Amino acid sequence: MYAAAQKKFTVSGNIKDGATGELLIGASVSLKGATQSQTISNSYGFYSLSVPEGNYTLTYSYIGYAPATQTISLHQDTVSNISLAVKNDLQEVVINDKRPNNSNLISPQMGVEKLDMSQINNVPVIFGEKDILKTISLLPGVKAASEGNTGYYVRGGGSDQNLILLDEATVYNASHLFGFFSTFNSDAIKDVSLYKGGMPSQYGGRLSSVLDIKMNEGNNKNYTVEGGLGLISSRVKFEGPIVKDKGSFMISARRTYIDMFLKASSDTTVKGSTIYFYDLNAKFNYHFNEKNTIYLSGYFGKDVLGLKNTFGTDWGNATGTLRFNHLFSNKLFSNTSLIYSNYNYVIQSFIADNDFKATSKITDLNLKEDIQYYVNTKHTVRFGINAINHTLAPGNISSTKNSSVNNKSIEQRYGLESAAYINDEWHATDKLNIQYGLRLSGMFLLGPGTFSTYDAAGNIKTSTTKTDNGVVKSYFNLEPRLSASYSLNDQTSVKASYNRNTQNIHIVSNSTSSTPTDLYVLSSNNIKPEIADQVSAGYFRNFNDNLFEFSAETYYKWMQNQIDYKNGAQLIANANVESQLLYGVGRAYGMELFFKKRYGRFNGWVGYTLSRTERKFDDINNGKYFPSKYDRTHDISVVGIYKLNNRWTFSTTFVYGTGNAVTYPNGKYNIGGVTTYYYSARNAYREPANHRIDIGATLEGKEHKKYHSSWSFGIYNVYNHKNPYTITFRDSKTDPTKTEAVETSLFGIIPSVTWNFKF
Amino acid sequence: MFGKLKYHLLLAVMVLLTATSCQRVIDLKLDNAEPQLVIEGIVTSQLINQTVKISQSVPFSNSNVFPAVSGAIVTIADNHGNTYSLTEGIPGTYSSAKFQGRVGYTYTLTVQTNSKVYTATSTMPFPVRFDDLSYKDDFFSPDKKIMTVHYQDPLNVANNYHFLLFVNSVQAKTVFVNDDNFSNGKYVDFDLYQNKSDIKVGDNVLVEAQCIDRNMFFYWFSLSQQQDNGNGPTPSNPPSNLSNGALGYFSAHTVQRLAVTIK
Repeated sequence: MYAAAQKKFTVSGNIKDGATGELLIGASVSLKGATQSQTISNSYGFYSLSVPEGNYTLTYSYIGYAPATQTISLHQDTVSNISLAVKNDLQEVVINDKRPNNSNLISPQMGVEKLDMSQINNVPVIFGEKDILKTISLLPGVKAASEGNTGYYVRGGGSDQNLILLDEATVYNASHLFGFFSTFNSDAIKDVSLYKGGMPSQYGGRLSSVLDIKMNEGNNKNYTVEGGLGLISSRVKFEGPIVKDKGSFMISARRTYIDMFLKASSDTTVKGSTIYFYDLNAKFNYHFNEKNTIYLSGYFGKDVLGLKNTFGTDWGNATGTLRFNHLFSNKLFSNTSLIYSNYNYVIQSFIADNDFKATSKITDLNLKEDIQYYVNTKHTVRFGINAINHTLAPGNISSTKNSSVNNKSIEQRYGLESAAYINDEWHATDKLNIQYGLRLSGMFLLGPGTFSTYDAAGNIKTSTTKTDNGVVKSYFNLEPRLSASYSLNDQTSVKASYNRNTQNIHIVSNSTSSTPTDLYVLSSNNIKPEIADQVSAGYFRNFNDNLFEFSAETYYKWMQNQIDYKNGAQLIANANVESQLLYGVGRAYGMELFFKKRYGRFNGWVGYTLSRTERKFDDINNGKYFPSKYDRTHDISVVGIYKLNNRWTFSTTFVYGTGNAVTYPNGKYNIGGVTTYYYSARNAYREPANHRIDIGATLEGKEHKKYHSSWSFGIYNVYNHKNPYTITFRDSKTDPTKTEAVETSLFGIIPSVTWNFKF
Repeated sequence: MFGKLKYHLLLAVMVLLTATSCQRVIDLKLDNAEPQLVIEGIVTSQLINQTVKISQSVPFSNSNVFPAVSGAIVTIADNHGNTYSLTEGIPGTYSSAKFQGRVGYTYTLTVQTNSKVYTATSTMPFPVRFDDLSYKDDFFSPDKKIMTVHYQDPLNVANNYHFLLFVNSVQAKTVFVNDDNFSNGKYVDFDLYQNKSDIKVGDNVLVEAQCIDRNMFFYWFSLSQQQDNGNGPTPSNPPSNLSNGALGYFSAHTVQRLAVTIK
């Protein structure tokens, strides 16, 4: 009740980039005076601090920006908006390197990785296409699904157990061209946060991780055009004010042009083929006044692939987010969102008498209300509700009259995924910070439709038909979330967390590479919600005035109701696809070490992960635990960025990972004259280890009044290491009485160059 | 059908995207599994000596010489009271007296060897007439041919098909299997996609077209996935209809042969 002794007032406001007016997410605000307090800005650049009346100094800081201070005398609720200036002068960086904050120590949040877009832009990647998904796979605890692939595994989870949000909208297939490129054009991206564990309760719906991506709002002061010409694609971004300082827009587009090269080919098959993708990001915002802001953002992307007169396929995501920020008071921040997301694919055959067109689609409509209540310096409470309406159209096949393929339609599935959550970030003492919360998730499988259950052999056991849109099956799960940090001193803290996550939408795909035809199913009479419980503990230490940061985190995760497939499972356009599934459990544990130099001419990090992840199914591997395909014992990433002078920046990455766990034959036999392989244990072998070095260099053009340009050069896989993509077995071509193993590797040494411009 | 499509697309992407991709033979150290019993039993719709082959698996690094299993007691019985004893000719190959498998009959194979008994059953399906075998240019390399089998799929029955392809009397080492999940009641032109035996002008091509039962469809389908060049599901042993953990299968199927010379 000490609070009653003195009147309390609130200082609140927005933190922005001074040049563009972009809101800064996660900027820190520290207040010093009669009392001390600190906070960070939320996803909309908003902060709020309530302290006893008095005189204070406020310091605002953000990575890559010059800090700003402001003195206030707080005798009434005060709004203090601040614009920070980008710090791009090298001299300043070196000499005047303001002590960066140690919020990484104090925050109770564990297992979170926040990526700095400028770092993403400097890290070399294949074909010079900078890519946030490939860059996050350089972080400890995150593994690239395969070489050149944007799929990633987090702490032993599958790639479908990652929730990928673009301005809050779920992106179902985050890859272009079978995973060689991600759907995220980094020009349009402002902020990327990855949660590997200890997720705050506002996130849910997937077991493994949350990748929360926010798009740029657009410059609300000036019109700018920027873009780049690369080997694979070109991109352009246009942004500017709608009404100066009030509203802005951003439109960013990208298209590949490999197909242009195909047209030049002398091979008629290649010449007649199509292969390209494009994507478009757009965002608009308008600040009505201090209390009300509206945002509209969208993404649309598509891949198109075709072989002359033979096959064609296209697939793509579309998302749309309409958001309304409202300040009920300077302590109560509300965000209401209406979110649309869609993923669909089309496969077509043009072969005479075998023509068909197969389509599949998933559509979500999501309504979300999220409230942040800055109660006092001790508590920040966040609570909300959301409801996602899923419509899944798993397969629809149409054909012409003469085709040997029948028209076929797999009935649609409807589901309502809902959640209510509450979370409190509690600054318990100066040393102890606790974040605790609870999420209640409810899954309702809805009619109409025919719903079957299956016996162990996959035969239909019961079948009921529902004609109305009532509830067929419902599941409720309580998901507790808890994490705490304890500061041992200014430079050291220890943290621990526990969280439960559940998942009610599951991917069904038994191929080892990501394909656009991956099918989604909802929890049902047969499929139970996947559940993961994770505990983790960590040690965090900063050195040299927070110039260096070190962390060691360990985790153990139990997973229930995991899904695998029967031998010879038929997954495509199968009305009884659930009869092809097997259910089991999983466990994953590991240790992640991370050492980072955060600032200076030379910066970068070293990450090392030691981990194990296993699955157990009654009908696989004689019911014994086996390494999952996500298992990677050792995983090392090294990233170094060196700014030589104002014009040249060099960068390099090194990655090393234990080979994938794979199933190899340990015998062979003869079936109908064909050598057939005998397999005994699941995933008992290892592919050879993956490793490679990439290097990159950026040359900034000379300063011009009207424009700015730069060149990016890259070399992927500098020492041309043949990393295994697949290993297959065959009768030897030279000696047919022998069998041999054949390794296919995809990418050797690949140089790239991109020219970037900005007006 | 869709599996093939996916495979083609993926192949196309790789060809187009990765001029630098490469293949090489590598040396792997693989464990040697204990020899496993392999039974391949067939009853066809033809009036012939029906045969059962019994052999053993060998370690991966061995030559492709599979030891015959001699001295087994092998019988085939149908569900109409007939039992046929098979006698061993060349080691590991057991033959019956001539008889013809009958449509709708369920056959039971019993193999007794090394004091263990292995059984399997299979039902001879309704025969579907295969009208024609034709060929066309390969999409990727027009000098090679793709064979196509033409037939009318019956509407009221679930049908399963298996094809063997011989080029100049040498069997192509690819499993061709189809059902009528997507084409029930349709006139079907089934392309035999494969890249193991090139078919060129002047070649004599023979296709043995079989109607198989559903279990055998799963067997061959699963086996065909082993050939998916590493992008298919985790490889596993195909689901055998034999008891007691024997590898292989027992299949009662109809047989029709179609031949053509490529011009």
